[in-house]
Amino acid sequence: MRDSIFRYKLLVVAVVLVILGLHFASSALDKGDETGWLGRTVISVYTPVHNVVTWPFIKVAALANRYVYLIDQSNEVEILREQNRSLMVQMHQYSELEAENKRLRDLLKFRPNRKVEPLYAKVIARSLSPEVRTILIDKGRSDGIERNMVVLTNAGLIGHVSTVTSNAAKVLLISDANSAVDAVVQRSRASGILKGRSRRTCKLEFINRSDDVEVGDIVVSSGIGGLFPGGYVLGRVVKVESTPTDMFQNVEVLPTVAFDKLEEVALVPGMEEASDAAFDGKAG
Amino acid sequence: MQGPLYFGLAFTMLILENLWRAQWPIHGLAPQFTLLLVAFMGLTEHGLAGLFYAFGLGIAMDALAGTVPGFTAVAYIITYVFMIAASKLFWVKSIPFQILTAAVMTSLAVTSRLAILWFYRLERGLGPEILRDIPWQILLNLVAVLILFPILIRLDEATDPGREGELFSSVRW
Repeated sequence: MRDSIFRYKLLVVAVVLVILGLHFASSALDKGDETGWLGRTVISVYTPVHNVVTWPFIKVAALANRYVYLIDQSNEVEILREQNRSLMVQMHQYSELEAENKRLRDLLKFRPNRKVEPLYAKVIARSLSPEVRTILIDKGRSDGIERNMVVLTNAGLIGHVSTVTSNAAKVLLISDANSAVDAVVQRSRASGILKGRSRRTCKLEFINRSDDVEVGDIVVSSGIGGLFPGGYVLGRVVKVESTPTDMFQNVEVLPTVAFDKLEEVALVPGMEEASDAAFDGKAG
Repeated sequence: MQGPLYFGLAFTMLILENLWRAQWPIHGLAPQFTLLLVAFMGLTEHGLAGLFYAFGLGIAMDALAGTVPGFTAVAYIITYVFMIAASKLFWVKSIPFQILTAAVMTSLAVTSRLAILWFYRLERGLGPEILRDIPWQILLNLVAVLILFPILIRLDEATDPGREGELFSSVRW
């Protein structure tokens, strides 16, 4: 009798917790805040402990990586020397272009963008499910991280900060289904919207049938849309399909950044923050 | 096992799973250590406290993974209740049962997630993507179960020796 009452109680509590879980999900989706106060609390409590516990593991992994890196380095030195020679030539050409650019800006009385010193953070957790593409970084509000900051690596644009706690922040990757970046094809300047699909590739939407897009083209951010600055590499076109009945081409883009191998990222203010700061006279 | 020990184990599994996924992902996946702990608690504890642990761990995973808060929590509660039912039929020390557990609980957790995604109509076309990962996830969980369950059973026996007969004597398979 006592056992059956307990089992009944257990089932009731299980049902209540399921309903509570679905309620959390519904309210988070309604408010468009996919982390919620509960999630932010968990992240705030978890991050310091995670940093302390994982420190030795990360150091050992870094040492091992460093050793492998040193073995490969001798071959790379020759390649890099060759690249260096060709880059020196290119640098002189770019210096000429920069000088020309400055002259043209002066001519147009165009105020150049302020110099922004990037912040750097380490990736401490990744999205655990295929339908969500996010990462958690070890810097938060206390380190100067703000919502909507743009997140980059040397390979290209990664995404933007969607949630900030005092000591950690969550980054919504450009490959997430909720992400959209105004983009242009670097070669032909065909413009569209790069939409994440929570898959390996993203989709470049609204590319007209007449637009010139080819496999291998580089796609960069256009700077339109108020958040992402222009000129950052987003990915490479891997598939172009066009049918006579469709108004737009079906273009798939493979992001240049390997999201599953991210370790460190750089953060810069989004265009909204940058322009606000300049307007308030805070810009350098 | 005592509650504080489970709390420590829960935090350890949480860190281990996140560290693995961040440092050594295999096909973008890592063993679901937290899910394994929930399954073990379902098989051995049967109690209300386990339900709250399952819920708390699920919420923590949602927060750290970036999934909508509640999704994983619901999947873990379903897994916990299912494992209580399974413990009436099977023996937790049986290796075939541990293999079955890894396969079933992974599939169950994924199915719950798919059901919730479908219910909320979040993103069409993600089903095949999620289903494609199931065999890899089962394989990873299987290896983790075969390593972790014997450790957890020994820990359980060492910390609460009187319970061994009570928990593991009703062998059905």
